[in-house]
Amino acid sequence: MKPKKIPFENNNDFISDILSTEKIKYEKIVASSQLDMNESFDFYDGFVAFDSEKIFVIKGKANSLDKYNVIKRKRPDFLCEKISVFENVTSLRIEKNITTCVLVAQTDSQEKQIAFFSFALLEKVSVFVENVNYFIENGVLPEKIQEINSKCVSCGKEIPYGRSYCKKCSEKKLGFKRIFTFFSKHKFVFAIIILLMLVEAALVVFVPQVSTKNLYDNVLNPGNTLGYDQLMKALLVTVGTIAGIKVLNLVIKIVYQFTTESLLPKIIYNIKNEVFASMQKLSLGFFTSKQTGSLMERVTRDSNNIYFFMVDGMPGVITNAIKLVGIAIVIFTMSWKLASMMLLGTPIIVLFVMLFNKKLRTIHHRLWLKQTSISSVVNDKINGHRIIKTFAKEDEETKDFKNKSNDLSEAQFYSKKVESIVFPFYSVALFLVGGFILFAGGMMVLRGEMSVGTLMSFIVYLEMIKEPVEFMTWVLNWWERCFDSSQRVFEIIDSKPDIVESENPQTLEKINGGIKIQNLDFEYEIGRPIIKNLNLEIEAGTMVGIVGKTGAGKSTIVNLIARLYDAKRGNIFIDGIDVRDLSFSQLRKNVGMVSQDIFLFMGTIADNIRYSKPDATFEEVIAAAKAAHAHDFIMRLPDAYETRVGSGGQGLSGGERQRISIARTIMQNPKILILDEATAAMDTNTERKIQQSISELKKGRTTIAIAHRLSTLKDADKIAVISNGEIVEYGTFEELIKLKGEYYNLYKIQNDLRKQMALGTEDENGQ
Amino acid sequence: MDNELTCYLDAEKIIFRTNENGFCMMEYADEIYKRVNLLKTCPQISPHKFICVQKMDSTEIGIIKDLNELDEESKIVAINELEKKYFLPEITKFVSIKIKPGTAFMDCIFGNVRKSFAVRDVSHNVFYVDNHTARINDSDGNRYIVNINKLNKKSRKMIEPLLY
Repeated sequence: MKPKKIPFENNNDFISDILSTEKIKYEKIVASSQLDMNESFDFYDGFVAFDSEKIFVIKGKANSLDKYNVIKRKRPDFLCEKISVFENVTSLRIEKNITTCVLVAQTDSQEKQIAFFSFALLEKVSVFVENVNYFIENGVLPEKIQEINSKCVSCGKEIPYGRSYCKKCSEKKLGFKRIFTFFSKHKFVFAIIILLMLVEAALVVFVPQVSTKNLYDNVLNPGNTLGYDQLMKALLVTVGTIAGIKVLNLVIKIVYQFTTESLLPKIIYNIKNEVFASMQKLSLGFFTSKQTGSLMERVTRDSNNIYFFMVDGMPGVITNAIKLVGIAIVIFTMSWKLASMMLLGTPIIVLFVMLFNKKLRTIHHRLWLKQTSISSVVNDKINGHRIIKTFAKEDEETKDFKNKSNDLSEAQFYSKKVESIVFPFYSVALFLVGGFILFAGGMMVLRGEMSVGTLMSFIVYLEMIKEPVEFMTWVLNWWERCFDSSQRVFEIIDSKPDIVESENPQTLEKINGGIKIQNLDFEYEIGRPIIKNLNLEIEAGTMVGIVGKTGAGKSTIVNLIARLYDAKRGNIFIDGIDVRDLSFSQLRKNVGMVSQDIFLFMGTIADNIRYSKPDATFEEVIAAAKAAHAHDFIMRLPDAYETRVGSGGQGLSGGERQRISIARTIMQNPKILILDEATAAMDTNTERKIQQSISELKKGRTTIAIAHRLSTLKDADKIAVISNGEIVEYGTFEELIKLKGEYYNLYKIQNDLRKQMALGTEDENGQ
Repeated sequence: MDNELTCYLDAEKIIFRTNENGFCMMEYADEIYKRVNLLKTCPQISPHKFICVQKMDSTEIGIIKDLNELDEESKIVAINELEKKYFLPEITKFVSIKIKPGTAFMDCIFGNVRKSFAVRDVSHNVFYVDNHTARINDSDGNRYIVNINKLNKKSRKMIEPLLY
C-alpha cells in the first residue's frame, strides 16, 4: 500500500480509502478517530473507525524515528501496517490508566481491549465512542455531531493533528525587546538617559588624548623648542582642558543620576502592578496549583531583578559599549598595528564568556529554586504555627528550616565559587595583554615608529578598557539572572485566564435567581471527571440542599454556578441566560458565597464588611453586622468596628470571623446565595447563632446550601444527594426519607449518633 | 492503630491470571473475581508494595503487602498489569526545548519515536520526583518520565534549568 498523507481533519474518507485498498468489505465510514499508541504503549499513528456494523482499528507505522524526516522536520506519510476488524460490538467505552487510555469493546459475551491512545486524543476518542454508542442504540448518528479540533495551547488557534501548539507560537521570541516593553512608557526619558550616557562616554574616551598624548608629546617632550612661558601656557591649557572635561563629566553624571533615579519608582511600580494585575485575572485553578512563596517571589524578587538590570545594568552596557567602540576607533587611528595586537586577546575572552554563559544561567535558576523553597517554607510554617505547636514539632520544623537554609547557603556558596573562578580570569587575561602591549609598544618607540605619548596613551586606554570588559563579562551574569526572572514574570503575564468574559456579555435588568443546570460535565484534570452529566433545576427564591460524601463534587457544582471554573460540557443558566454569557460584574454581584474557609482581609472590621460595597454608609455596615448577629460581639471589642483583623490583626474566634463574612455577604446583597459548609467547623452554640444569621441572609434569595450536618438543611425546599459527580436522589426531606435510599441512611446514622451522644451526656450528668 | 478496617490479603491464597482478552482476574480464598483493578498506594517509593485490589465497581477487596510474596506467575501478571496501568512514556533525549512566554515547547525522543508537545506553566509541570527522576506533564494531560542520569549531557543541559 502506498503511503498516504495523514489528514488533519475528517478522517472518514481517508479511512475508506485505506480499507478499499486493503480490499476489506465495509459500509460507508460513519465515525472515526485518530489513535497514537500501540498495545505496548509506544507512540504509533493509527485510526479507529466504525461503518455502522464493524469497528476497524488501523495500525500504522508512521511515527517511528527512522521514517521521521529529522532535518526537514516534516511529518511522514501514513503507512498502514495492520487492520483489525471487530464485529458484534454492543458498546464501546474508554478505560483510563495514569497517562494512557484503552478503548474497550463490549460484545454480548465478552469485553475486549481494541485500541490504545494517549490523553492527547482522549477528547476525540470520547466523541467517537459517544457517536458509535448512539448509533448502535438508535441506528443513526446524533443530530448534532460534536467535532473536536485541536487548538494551540498558547494562542487557541486551530492546529493540525500531532501538535499541541502552532508553529507561530513556538517561534515567538522572549528576548531583550520583550523585557524592554516594561520601559516603553518612558521612551523619552530613556532617550535622554542614553544621550547623556553617549556624551559621558565620548568625554571619557577623549580625556587621554588631551591628558596623556598632548601632555607627553606637546608639553613634556624633551625635544620641544618652545620657550618656558609658552610651555607653561600650554601646560595650563592642557590641565584646564582636563579639569573642564572632568567638571562637564561630573555635571552630566549628576543629571544622569537624577533622571535615572526619578524613573526608577515608576518602572518598578509598572512591573509589579502588571504582574499583580495579571495574577488577579487568572482563574482559581492557577492559585490552587502554586505555592504562595513562589508567587510572592515573582511579584517581588523577580520584578526587582528585571528592574535593577534595566536601570543599572543596561545603561552600563550602553556606556561601556560606547567606550569600547570609542577606544577602539581612537587606538586604531593612533597605531593600527598596536591596536590589532591589543584586540587579539578579545576572541579568547568572548569564547570564555560564551562557555560560562549557560552554566551561570543554570546556577542562578537553582539558586532561585532554593530561595523560593525557603520563602514557601517560611510562609507555610507561619500559617501552620498552631498545628506545629499542637504537635510539639518546633524542633523538627527548626531542623527542617535549617536544612533548607543550608541548601540555599550551599547553592549560594557554589554560585559565588563559580563566579570567583570565572571573573579573575578576565583580570589575568587583561594583565597579560597589558604586558604584551608594553613590550611591543616599547619596541616600536625604540625603533622610532611611535612617540612616547602615543605609547603612554595606549597604556592608559588599556587601563580604561579593563573596566568595560570586566563589566561586560560580569553583566552577562546579571543579564542571565534578569532573563531567568523575566521568564517567570512573563509566565504569569502571558498566562491566559481559563475564565474569560463573553465578547458581548448580557446584563439582565433584574436577576431573580432561577438556576438550571443542564448535562453538566466537569473535570479538574483531563480524564478524571468530577461532575458527570448533571441536571438540576432550582426555582428562584427557593432553597436547595446538597449532600454527599467528601469528594462527591458538591463544592465543584457551586464553583461552577459562581463561574470560578467553566464547565467542560453542558450549561448552567441563571434566569434562562447561560452564565458564560452573563457579564462578570452582574454575575459576581449576584452570586454570594459563605464558605467554611473564612478569609478576612487586613483592615478593620468595617472595611471587611463593606468589601463588596466600598461606598456603603456606616449605617449600612451596622445593619449588615446586626443582620449577621455580629454587632454584639463587635461592640464588646475595645476598638469595635475599627478593630483591625486579618493578618497581624485582632484574634477572633471562628464563629466571630464567620459572622463577619456573613455580614460581608449581606452587604453584597446577592440574589443567589451559596452556603458551602458555612457552619461545618463550628460548635453547636456557635452554629445556632450563625444559623440565625443565615436565616436573615436567605430571605428573598435563591439559596444553595452544602452541608454534612443534615440538620442544617431542615428548611430546604428540595435536597439533592450527590455521589461520584451525579445526582442519585432528589426531592423534599419527606420524599427522601420515604425513599429509604442514600439520604435516609445518612440521616439515620446522624440521628443515631446524636441520640448516643445525648445518652452519653445524660450518663455523665447522672454520675 | 486499628488495623481491622483494612483487609490485608493473604499472599499465599492469591492467584492472578490474565484472561483471554488481556484483563487481570483473581482467585482468592475460593472466590473468583473475573476482573480486578490493581492500584499502587505509593507509586514512586514502593511500586510493588501495599497494592490495593479492587473490584471493577471500585470496592476494595483488600491490600497485598508485597507482590514478592505472591507465587511467580501471579507476581508477573500483577506487575504487568500495574506496569500497563502506571505506564509513563520515558523521554530518552531532548532534541530541543524552546522557552516561550507562558509555554515551553519540547521536541523529544521516546526510545525510537520522536514527539513534540507543549508544557504550560513550567514551574508546576516540570519537576523532580526524586533525586534522579523528573516528571513532565504536557498541556494535553499526558505525563512523561525522565531519568536525568540516563540523559546525554546536551539533553541534561536543556532540561535542568526548567526543573523545579
